Amino acid sequence: MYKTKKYTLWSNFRFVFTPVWKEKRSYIRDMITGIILSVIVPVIGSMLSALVVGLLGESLSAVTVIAAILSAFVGYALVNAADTYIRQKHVYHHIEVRSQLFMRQFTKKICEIPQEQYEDSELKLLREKACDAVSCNNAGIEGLLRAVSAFGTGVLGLFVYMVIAGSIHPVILLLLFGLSVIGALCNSLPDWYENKIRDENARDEMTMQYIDRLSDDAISGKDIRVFGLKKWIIGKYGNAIKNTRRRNAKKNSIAFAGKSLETILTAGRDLICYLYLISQLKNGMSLTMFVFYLGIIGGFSAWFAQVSDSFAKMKYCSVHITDFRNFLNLGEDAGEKKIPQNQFKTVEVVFDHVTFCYKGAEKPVLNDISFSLKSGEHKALVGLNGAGKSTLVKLISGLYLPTEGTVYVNGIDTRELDREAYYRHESAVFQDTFTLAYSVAENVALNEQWDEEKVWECLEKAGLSQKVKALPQGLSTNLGKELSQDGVRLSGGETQKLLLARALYRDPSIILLDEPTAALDALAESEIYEIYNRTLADITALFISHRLASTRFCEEILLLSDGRIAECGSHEELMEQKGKYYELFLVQSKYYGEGGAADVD
Amino acid sequence: MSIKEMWNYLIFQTKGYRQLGAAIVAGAVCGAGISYINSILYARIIDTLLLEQYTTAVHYVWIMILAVLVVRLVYIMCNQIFEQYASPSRDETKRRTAEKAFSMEFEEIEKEENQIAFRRTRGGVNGAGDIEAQLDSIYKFFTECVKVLFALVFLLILIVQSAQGAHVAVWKIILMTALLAGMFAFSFWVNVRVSESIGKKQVELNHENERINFLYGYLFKIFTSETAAKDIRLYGMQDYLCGKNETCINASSYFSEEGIFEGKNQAKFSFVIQLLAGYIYVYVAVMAMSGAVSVGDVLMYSGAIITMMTGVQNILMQYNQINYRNEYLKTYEDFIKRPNMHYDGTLPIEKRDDNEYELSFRNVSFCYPGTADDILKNVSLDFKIGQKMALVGRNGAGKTTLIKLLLRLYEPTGGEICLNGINIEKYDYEEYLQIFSVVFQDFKLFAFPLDENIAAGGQVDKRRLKQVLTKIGLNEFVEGLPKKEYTLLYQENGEGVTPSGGEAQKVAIARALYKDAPFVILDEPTAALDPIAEAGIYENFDSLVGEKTAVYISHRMSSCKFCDRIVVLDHGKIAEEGTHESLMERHGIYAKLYQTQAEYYVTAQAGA
Repeated sequence: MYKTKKYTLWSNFRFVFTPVWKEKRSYIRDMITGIILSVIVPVIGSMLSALVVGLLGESLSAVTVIAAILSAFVGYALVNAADTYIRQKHVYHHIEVRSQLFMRQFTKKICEIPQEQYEDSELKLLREKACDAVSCNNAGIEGLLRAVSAFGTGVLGLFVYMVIAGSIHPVILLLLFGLSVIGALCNSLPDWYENKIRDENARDEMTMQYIDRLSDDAISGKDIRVFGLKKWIIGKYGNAIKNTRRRNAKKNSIAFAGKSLETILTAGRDLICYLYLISQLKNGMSLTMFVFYLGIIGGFSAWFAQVSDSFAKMKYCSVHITDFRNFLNLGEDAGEKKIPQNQFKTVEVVFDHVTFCYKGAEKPVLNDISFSLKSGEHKALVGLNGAGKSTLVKLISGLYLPTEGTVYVNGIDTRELDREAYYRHESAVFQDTFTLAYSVAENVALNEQWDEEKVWECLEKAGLSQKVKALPQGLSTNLGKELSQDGVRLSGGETQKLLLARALYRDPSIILLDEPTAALDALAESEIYEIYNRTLADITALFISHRLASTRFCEEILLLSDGRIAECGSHEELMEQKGKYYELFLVQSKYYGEGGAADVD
Repeated sequence: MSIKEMWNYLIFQTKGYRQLGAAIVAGAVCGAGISYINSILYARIIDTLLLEQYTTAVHYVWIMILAVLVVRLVYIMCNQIFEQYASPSRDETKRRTAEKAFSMEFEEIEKEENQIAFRRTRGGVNGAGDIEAQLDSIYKFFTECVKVLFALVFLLILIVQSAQGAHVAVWKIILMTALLAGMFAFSFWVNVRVSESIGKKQVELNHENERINFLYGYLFKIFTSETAAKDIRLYGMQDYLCGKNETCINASSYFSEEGIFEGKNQAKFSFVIQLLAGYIYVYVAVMAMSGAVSVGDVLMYSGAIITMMTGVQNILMQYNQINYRNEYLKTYEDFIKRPNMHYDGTLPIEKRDDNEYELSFRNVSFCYPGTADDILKNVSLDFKIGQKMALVGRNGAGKTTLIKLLLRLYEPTGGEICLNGINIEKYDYEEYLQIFSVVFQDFKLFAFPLDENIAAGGQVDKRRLKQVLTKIGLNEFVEGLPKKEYTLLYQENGEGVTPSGGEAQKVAIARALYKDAPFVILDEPTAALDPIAEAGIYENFDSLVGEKTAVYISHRMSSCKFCDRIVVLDHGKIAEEGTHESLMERHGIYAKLYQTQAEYYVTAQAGA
């Protein structure tokens, strides 16, 4: 369903550098200057010692020698300082470029991709990879930025050194080149092995990270203590470390073998070069050149290694960037989206033979469902866990699109509907409540600018204004302790009221309530339902619950069972039918009947 | 951090690896030695070549290459040994942190200083507190020290040679040497100043970075949370949240400022040091021209002195970094070593077949740290053996808190809790917990195999597992899993299965049953179950709990009827106590709560 594209390294290079060229020209300027300076510095460095030997070899006056050495070093010091400055500046510049040019695209996208794609487990992996691509220093986008600098420097350096080495003797050039290739291969041995153990290491790493996360989680902490799980869980950690270590020991041995081989080859290379250069001395080459050439020979393989390493790094990072771009490609095809004529002032939803099946699932969750939710109507949806209630809510809200059949909102198929516009006119309170660690007012208004009067009005309606007035900083009090130590924790009932205030703040035309009272005590639950009844007067509303009694006040109740609407009608009608609803109701209510306890044995 | 401390630290971190000490000493000597061996012999080669003694030069070439080869191989080997021991240290530290977290006083977990310690341990991998980098720095520090020591020897020899052999006026030598010392001191001063100001700025940067990462971490958790995703879309929170994120994005400019600052300072320093290098060449060249040293020696001595300068620079740099990191590492060293003050009881728990464990609250009060209001006020309560007790009350009445105190997850701020007449603080904590089977309202299952979850450990008694699964009605669920009872739960630790709310709750109950402890606590065990499953649990309540002492917390008032005794908590006090019938007659809080819920059903039924 979601096709991922493959991008070449070149294409990814352009993807990253086009915006940089447009918006951060100074970055590119520094990069090129840095590349040139980083090559010049070591070349001059090799010349310096050759110069000293040369000067001392001739019989020159002390003053000339001193002046020559000093002036050479002043020049060298200047170039060196410039190089240091540019490189250091550049190191931090990468971070800025990555954050300012690419991070926004990621966070924006992650909030925007349709819910179905968001929940898709395949895409979850893609999302995580895309995230790595924008948040790591040494991988993804920043990794590529760094690698390109290193690669540019390497290529230029290698070119200059090859020209010089070639001028000694073509065979020397060939020798240096060949040994550099072998050296690079030796050094890539551990990487090759690491590829083999990567999955196993990642597996252990996952376990370790999981346990790390458990360690500051107070909720898990209770079970860990009470059931004495410490030994078990820490044992898993220990095993993960032991296994990783065992595998890495082998990798280290391979690395050692590779490095040793490279060292031996380097020794051989040096021997040959020395002997050749000494024979050239006999033929009249100057000692100055001898010293200079040795400097170049010593630096040659480092350039080669830099080119091959940074190229590998570029390819590695390019994979992340491909993931990142594929992530950015997610979302809907931008087509003409329809908005109903009444601008969602009222909302009416019609299900026409709707079937919904989760991706990869064999059985549909909802099967051929038809019903309508008229404007201003209050309906209830009841059913057992797993009956598909939450899925149905997501279909009504437009978060999901049906697999078969059609959901009409004010007569428009949700597939063609401008869902963004629809969202602005609906509110939902979900079972899994979620508040932000910012101020009460921001939690209601979901904006940094809020209309104070309106916030109070909504809090008043939701029955929370007394509580908020009593808070130390009133509307500006932060919620929860996550971001501020003086934040306030709300109780379950208070959180529900806050979410209702949030739902009301946007003047919704439709409101969906997905089991909002599951965690509340009896008094709080009935209080919340009273508030709903009072405040939702003209708003189209759907209440979802597995507690049959709590939705009795609704005009119509739909009973969802096995993906179908099994029964529908008012509470009284359903009880008279003596069908499934009746049965369920009896099970739940029998403990409240006269002498209930005695009925059970 | 003194050098001795550093060494001790190294030993502490790598306890039990004696080879490591040898590897570090040998590695430091070899690592420092390579360049000196090279430059000594290179000097000889140049000198013999100047005299056109090619055969001797070739001999020196052989000696140099072989000597360097051997030393370098030893060095590589030492590095490898070091790596082998140092690289798991990061994971080890994290493991120790987790172990500490699992055994420390529960109430400490959420305290800010401990949360910082957790964050620093984990953040250390990318940031300032990386333990592996610390070990590496210490190793480098020792290596650089050896390098400087070698260089000092060279410098001494040079001065002696110049004094003896130079045909230059003594005052000139003294003047030049004094100038050298002066420049050396100057560059050292610049170095210290530069690294100090960079260090200071880096501390600021890292604090800023930590703050930003913290904010970003929070937002990121929201961006990637399944729970939040729906709300973000429906409520159009995109712009709002992305706006919050702008703070984090814009903070990256701070890094660029830092880059320019560091760049300028380091450039200044590298300029000074290259000038000094130039002067060193001049100095040695003058000696050479006066015949005190050879041309080859010029390269050798200048090289040695320059190595010394960069050595000093590196030592300072590493030293600053070591100290800086130490501030971070200390946080969790202290954290790991801190004793668990509250859990130091030693009394063993008597193993009793008759399960005669009697617990009682005596005037217990409790108030959460940092808050003013008492959650529990002067509560006295006996848990009678074999009795099934229900604890009811409104949200926030203190029910769960009472359970947490019973389990010593928090300590009472007043009064005491006793087991068979002895304060529970006196008992060995791990043994004390063995008498409880608990299902918390917000229970957690772990991303490990299902059977291990139920058995709460790696050793699974298969028969007992089977019994428990049958009792709780999970057999069908388990049979349907890809790897039956060995199936991994959740996705956090590999490909696993995510049970529904109801299934998870049953597994949690199964875990409590498997433990088979004499005292059972059920905190809202049916909240996530649908009516049929809920009814199933109620009906099996007796067989689930058996003859054990049990405490039951629920919002479903109907479920309390199964209990021998109902205790009603209100605003931290025991408001009412009795059986269902006696409490209904009192027309108090219990009756009100019960009526409110029953109303739905009873009137509805009557109407039907």
